Amino acid sequence: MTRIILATNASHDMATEYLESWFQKTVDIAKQQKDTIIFELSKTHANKIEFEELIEKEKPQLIIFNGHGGSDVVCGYEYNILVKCPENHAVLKGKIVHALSCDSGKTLGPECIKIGTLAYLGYNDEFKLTTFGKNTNEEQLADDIAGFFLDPAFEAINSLVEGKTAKESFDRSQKMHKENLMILLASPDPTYNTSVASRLFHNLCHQVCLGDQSASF
Amino acid sequence: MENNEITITERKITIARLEVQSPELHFSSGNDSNEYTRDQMIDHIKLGDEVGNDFVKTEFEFLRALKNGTLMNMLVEA
Repeated sequence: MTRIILATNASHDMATEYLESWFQKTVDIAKQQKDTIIFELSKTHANKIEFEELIEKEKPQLIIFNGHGGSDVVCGYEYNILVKCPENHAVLKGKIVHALSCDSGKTLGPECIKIGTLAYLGYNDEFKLTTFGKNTNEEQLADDIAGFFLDPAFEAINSLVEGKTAKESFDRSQKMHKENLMILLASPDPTYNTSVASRLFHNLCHQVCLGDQSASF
Repeated sequence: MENNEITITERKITIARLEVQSPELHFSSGNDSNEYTRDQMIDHIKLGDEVGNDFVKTEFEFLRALKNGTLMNMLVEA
């Protein structure tokens, strides 16, 4: 059976542009997988109409949201709501979901699990990001401060794409968060300050993995 | 977080810690489309607005976890 991924990238401000830059690594990994197709809705295409059309037409098994969110929503371009509970969260039934967005692990994730989403990985509080404020894709990917946050966050996404279980993907991400915290705490480089660590610690503590821990894509 | 939940001392400590960081750092958080430089964040902390208070709160969650051993217990499991 063909493995189908649907990803949305809001990419309308600096934080979400960084997510899209990091997402290109996910695309590369997806392309290396056997029988795997990835559909990406980026910028203005990250809207509810195109999102629901692709869900209906392509029937993806893995959904990746990269954008802003709230307790009961995940958003696309310029805060266009893609999924809101209880309005249309049924579109995520039977799927594995990763939401790199704020708060949606608080209400939307648990409600999705109740109606049959296989697994929901995300954050039940704000996702914190610290960067050097770079503008181009290349500069963003070379931003080592951003990497402390986005490498562990995307470890969960990339592990799911590789076929790891929800729990394995979550565990790998948590482990990388901790390893990066150790580097920040131990480094003599003043840029790798513990005030950066505090924000990474927040993400570590608020990352969640809901539903069937053995679910895999 | 309500303004009155953050003490003056917590603000001072957070600002002092920020002042030794690179001014080139940018902070993003939550659904706010803006990102803030170090100096802008210091201004928000001094103002005691939502952006600044959220930064202080995150800082002190970390410092308390460091102080009470929660952080180290988590890290040694890694």
